Amino acid sequence: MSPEARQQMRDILRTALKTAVLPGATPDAPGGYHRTDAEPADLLARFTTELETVGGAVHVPPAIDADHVAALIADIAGDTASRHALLWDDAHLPVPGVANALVARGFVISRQEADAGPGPARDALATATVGVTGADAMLAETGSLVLVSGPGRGRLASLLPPIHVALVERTRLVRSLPDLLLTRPDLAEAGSNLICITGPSRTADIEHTLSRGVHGPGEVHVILV
Amino acid sequence: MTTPAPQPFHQRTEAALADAHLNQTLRRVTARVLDSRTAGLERLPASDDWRDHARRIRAHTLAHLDRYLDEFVTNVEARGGHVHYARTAEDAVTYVTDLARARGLTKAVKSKSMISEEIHLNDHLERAGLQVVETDLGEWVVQLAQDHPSHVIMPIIHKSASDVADLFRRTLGATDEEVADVPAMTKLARARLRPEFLSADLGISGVNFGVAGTGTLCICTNEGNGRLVTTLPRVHVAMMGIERLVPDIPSLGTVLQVLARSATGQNLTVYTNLLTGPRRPDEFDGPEELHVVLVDNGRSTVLGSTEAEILYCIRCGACLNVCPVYQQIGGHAYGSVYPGPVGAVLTPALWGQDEWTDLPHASSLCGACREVCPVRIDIPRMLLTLRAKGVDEGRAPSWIGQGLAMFRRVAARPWLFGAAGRAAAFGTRLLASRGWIRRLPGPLAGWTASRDFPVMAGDSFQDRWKKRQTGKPGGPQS
Repeated sequence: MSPEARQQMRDILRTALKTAVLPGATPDAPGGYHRTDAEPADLLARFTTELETVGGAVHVPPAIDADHVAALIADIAGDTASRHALLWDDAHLPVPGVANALVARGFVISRQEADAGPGPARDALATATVGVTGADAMLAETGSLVLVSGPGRGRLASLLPPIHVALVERTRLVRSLPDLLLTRPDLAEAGSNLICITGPSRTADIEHTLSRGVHGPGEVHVILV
Repeated sequence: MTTPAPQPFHQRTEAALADAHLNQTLRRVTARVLDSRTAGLERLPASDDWRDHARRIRAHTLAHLDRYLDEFVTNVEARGGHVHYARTAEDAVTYVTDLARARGLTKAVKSKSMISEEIHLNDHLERAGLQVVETDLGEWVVQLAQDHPSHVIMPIIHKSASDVADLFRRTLGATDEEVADVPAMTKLARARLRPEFLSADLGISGVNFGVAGTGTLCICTNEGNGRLVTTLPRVHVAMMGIERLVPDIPSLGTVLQVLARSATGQNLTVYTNLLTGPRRPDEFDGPEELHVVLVDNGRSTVLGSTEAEILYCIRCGACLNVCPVYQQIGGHAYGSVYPGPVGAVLTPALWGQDEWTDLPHASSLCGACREVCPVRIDIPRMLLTLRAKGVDEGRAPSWIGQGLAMFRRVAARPWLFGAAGRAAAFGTRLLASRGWIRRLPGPLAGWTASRDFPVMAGDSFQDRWKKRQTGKPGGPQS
């Protein structure tokens, strides 16, 4: 914005503020609300309940290794005819070697390795049937996942495929989004995008009747590792 | 919307009231959403304290809007974004159409944005040769039907599922199977709109909150179209009202805690999307360019007025759902892009009472809007100040002033008031049959057009009070 435009904006607002009637305005910034109610005793139980309420699912593999995790993803993906996974880079997944283990189970693997503008490369990513990501946090009170974008951890894996599977360590459990933003405000600017996902894509535009999977994934699964 | 609706308000209202299909749909849906809202807030411990704090954040931000907007511009630009301050609707659309021309953009995908409805952005972009596709399911329906949204968060609250099915059959050639039920129509929307997202070069979104301290944009959606619009096209234009700010990220957490619960009863919308600048050099997705258009279009005038409090609004829509007037007439009758109680204040405050003098009267002043407002905006107070301004500016019909002046003369003289009461009681007895009057005479007939009037009691309150006191120690003796 040009300095002149900016000065004009300031002047208009300052003039308006001289006569503004703003009940309840304080001189000091209130900041975020500091709650005083007790944290839920079992964050994982609460997370599971909340995610299930919005139509997601939580899974615990029998053992935490690439093969067991890949077996679980294959189960979730179901249909063997279209095994195509869009993955975050290995370095950003909490279990190493998942991509190779998926290949061994007949999956085609795609990654965002270049700028995918409109065209065949992007259209190919859009045919993936399952997206596999990590997550920076799980929010107990809402059953949400928080993902910060960055190199090797693109936005599309949790967005384009009809199924989203997130591999997350239990230690990433946080009480709620306000609590996370109060204690870790830096996360909001760590990448160009912080996405907080609360269950499968849904719409209630038609007669407030719930329907899932409109533009984003219709299924959201969390594998605890 | 600066162009007023073509018919007078009372005609639009009568048309809405006569539409039985609309009334049924509205009653069913508003009741359902209100139940969800109550449940959503009950799940949040100390929800009243969260609301009080959210109000403090909004009030403080507006009181220092000059400073916070300045900080916001600095931070968006520091992250590589562009900001334009648009004083008028025309200024805003010109910026976007010029940008589209300069970059050679041909197809825009849009997520829901009330402010782009306000400034008629789609019409202007289409006239500039762009293809514009609404991608929110409700807004897509509105676009296909060449209609207008009738609610700030549920744009097609006025349409039933069968209305939408008919529309899809007619405009998209959908088969009966594709419109069999709501999930089928949802699937159809996904299939038809996905190619549009993948090929668009311009993404246009609204903004729920801008964060001054970081230049972050927060966009709340349920469908995922908001993410696609802000991720796939190479240029993202975010349309944002100048009042839509919070100071910092922790404050954002607080307002988000009450927004979705008040709107739909959800704990959070499915996608709470925080965007800080365009894609970074090491990232492979996200837009190459980010433009934030700060739309004033009357907001600074509202800020300088007695109605500035209406700018605290976080657009949850709860006051629409709870309003007995909105429940009856729906959003279109208001004639403004912002209907319901919030719209009845915001519309005349933004664009003057010349065309919108009736809207502040579209309320019974029951106060339900103030009760449900997540930031406790005193809407009834401002409806009254706007009504008073209307009278002061000579916009009220003259019989209201004359009638009130006559009432004042009678009510100030107890003997006259008593006599008038006795005369009225006598008159009603003459007109009544079996205790009710079916039709009042002369100009009063309007009152009985849709209801009956009861016979007034034979004894007035003053008479009964006198009798009650008679014989009591210290009471008047007769």
